[in-house]
Amino acid sequence: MSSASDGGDPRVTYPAMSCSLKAVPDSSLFEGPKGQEITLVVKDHIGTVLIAKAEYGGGSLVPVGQAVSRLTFTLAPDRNTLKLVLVFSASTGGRGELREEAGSDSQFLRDLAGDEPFQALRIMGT
Amino acid sequence: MRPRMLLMLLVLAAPSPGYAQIEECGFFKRTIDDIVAGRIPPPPDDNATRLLSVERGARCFAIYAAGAERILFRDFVKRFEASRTDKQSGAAASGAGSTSVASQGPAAKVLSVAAEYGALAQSVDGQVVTIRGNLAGIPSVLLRQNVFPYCVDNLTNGYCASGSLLGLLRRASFSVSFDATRGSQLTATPADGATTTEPVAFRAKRDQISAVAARIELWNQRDTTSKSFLDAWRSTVGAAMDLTAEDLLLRAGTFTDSVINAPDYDAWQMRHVPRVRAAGQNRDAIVSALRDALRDLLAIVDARVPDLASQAEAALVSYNAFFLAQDELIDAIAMKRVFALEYVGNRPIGQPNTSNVRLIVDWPLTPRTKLVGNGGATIYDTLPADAPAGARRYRDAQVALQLDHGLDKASILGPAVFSLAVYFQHQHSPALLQVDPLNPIPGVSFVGLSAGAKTVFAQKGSLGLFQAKLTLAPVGSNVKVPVSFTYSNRTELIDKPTWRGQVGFAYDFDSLFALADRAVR
Repeated sequence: MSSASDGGDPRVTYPAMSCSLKAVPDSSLFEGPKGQEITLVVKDHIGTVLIAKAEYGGGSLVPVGQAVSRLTFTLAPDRNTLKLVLVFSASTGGRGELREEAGSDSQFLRDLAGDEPFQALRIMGT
Repeated sequence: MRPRMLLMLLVLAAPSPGYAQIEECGFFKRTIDDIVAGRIPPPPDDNATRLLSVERGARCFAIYAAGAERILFRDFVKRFEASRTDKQSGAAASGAGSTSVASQGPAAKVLSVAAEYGALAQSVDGQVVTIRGNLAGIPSVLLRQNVFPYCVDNLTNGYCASGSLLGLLRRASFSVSFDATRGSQLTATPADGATTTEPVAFRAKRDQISAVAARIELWNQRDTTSKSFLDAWRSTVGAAMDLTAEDLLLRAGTFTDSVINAPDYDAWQMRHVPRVRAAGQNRDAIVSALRDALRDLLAIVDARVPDLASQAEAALVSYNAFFLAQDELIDAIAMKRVFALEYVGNRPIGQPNTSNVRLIVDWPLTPRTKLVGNGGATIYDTLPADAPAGARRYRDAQVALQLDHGLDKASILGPAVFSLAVYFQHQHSPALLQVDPLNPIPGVSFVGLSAGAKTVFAQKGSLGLFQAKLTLAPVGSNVKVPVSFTYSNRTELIDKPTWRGQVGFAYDFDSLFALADRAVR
């Protein structure tokens, strides 16, 4: 894990929070405590990347007709899949990354590329 | 072979024999390159797990599941023929009882029709319908039908269309204008005092094509990195990509669910990830491990999901549409500095045909303001035999300057655009009108002409014109309504100052076709 480096007022004291998602070794599965609120953000590397669609637990996390750089959801029990569709201002040449943020804590989840705009995360709520 | 087929073949890259390799798919290739180069991702990520994650490289896995990397030219032709929607299933458009008002056309996406009323430098008003298109239209339609894929990587045997190729084709456009007033037919006049119903002779007038035009962008510099572009992109991308993103979520999501929800998927990963790791940084060994893993995965999932290939195919169609829509949005909102050359062949009613060549400069000043300059010359295609002594084929030269300012915060594509324009035309050779009592020129009456006069001409000289225009585009609609007022010191025919008002109407059919396509799917 690394500290958030996205700016912000250094005088602000964040509550002691840490990222919740843990990768299961040799698997693309994540796990985290059910009921926990999770915040995911996208960061730009080449061009701008935004989340146009997000679906988790049968619900949509992005308002229709909008694209966002941050979304929040609550971990459901058992295995659920978060599905994302990302849009890139640099088309298939665009690059970015998906991170989890929790207060001042932040962790890298995966890199994003414009030629794979659909991403899924299997998350086990334990 | 039909002309459309020939054109399509011309725009495709040269075919290469043999199958492409699945490891050339972008996601696989990047990951293998990282492993070979020893690039280690930040924890908790790791390259071997990443390579075998359908969740992360669904498109490449779908290509493998659909067998799309093994598509050869014969399959491509089959797909093309199967996708054709232009075969008339009912009566022909001109046939009695037909439900079609127009024949199907392949370039639906790029068709737009503008009906304009009024004229600027001409004295003959008319109702003109213009159909415009560009050369990217046909490949774009075929991309949406998944006849051939969007080029993302080098695994499609060359039978694909790239964003750069489509961008190049979009630079060449064409239009045909039809004068609706020419469709009326002339009837014989019954004798005076006739009170009974009499048969009359109908005679079709000349065809309705009033102009054909071709335009090519000689130079086109796009800005896709500035803050103003990114601001405009952020504010429009959600709405613009809503339908295609939703479709991709559904189709790619269905395919991915089928694979990752297979009971053996986790076991498959745990079995093959160590094999990829065991290959070390040896590219051949990694590729071999990947191929083994893919074969194994397909066997596992195929047994449980018989229509996996169909799901993969549907997902690939959605990817095509998504990439195309994303590129079209970028192309639409990028500020472009353009130099273009345009040819217009005019076939005005009652006047000799002319050819006009024009150089166009389109120069954005700010995200909301742009300057457009034109310079051109017109020649008569042929001079009438009885043309006056001073008439020459070189008819006139024109220059024009127009300033467009968007009244919306986002861009000049906003809901309203205010324009100011000046136009200057030097009439080197007089405007010629051909007198035909059976085909009178709308809006023109001749008084005191000698009985044998067949050609009349106006004065030479210069004419200047000033125009103020407001183009309204109601939010959520695809309609544009330009309203303008024009002052000119004279027209080609009338040597007096003139005030005019013009109202137009344009509809972009693209959205209509997109909705229809969505309904079908």
